[in-house]
Amino acid sequence: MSQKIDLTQLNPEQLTAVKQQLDQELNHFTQSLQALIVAKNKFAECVTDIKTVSDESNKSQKLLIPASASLYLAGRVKDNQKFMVDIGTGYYVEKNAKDAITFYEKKIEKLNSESTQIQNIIKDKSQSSLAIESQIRQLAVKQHEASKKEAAASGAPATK
Amino acid sequence: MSDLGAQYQKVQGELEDLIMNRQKLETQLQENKIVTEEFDTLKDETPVYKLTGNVLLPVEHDEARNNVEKRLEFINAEISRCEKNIKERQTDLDKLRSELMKQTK
Repeated sequence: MSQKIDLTQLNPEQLTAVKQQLDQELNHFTQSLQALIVAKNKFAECVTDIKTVSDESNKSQKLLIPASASLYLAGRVKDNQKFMVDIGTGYYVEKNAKDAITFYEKKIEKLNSESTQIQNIIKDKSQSSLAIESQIRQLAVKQHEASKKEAAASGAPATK
Repeated sequence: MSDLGAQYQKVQGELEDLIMNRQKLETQLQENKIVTEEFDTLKDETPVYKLTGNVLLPVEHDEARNNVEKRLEFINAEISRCEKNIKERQTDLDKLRSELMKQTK
């Protein structure tokens, strides 16, 4: 993927093809970044939720538990320091508030480092994309001028 | 000519499906790996539950760990199988492509 191509050696059609491919990759990475941000926000929400629920003032907080979409039962938080954390593939682990928060914060950190990676890739790719675009434009201008000159010299559109 | 072209497209489609499959497997592999890592950091007395249908059932640590490890094995086997298929399809595709080139010449 990372082989170097001399842009000046390519003709306009090839340049457009390369640019299209690059733009596609760029799109893909932007989408991935978007997904990472969504995931990160979800985890951040979990952290705030844990903080709210485990707060001293929310001890034995009353709440309504949905038994179905239209039926709720009155309940009470028995222990606001214990949380069930989904660690993936259907497994849940009981954690106390502190551990649960570290768990989610670790996840957020991981996602952060991954998003910076992707951001760097996106930067690189969009730079290349811009470079190709300017190359295409230069070529177009050159062609345009060449054909104008030839037309002026011979009075007719010349074939090379 | 159109026969070869159709064949080429068919193989290409198959290859795309396989690649998608490979990506799905990779996601599963990563998820399971995260779960094993999490199991490794668990204290002995921490309860672990498994979501079965709509209820959380308590499970023993060893059982849960074995289960995930078995899954990892299975996924790894699936990945190598999938990669083998991808390679095969790719060679098929290359062959078809060179044949197509010959015909168009």
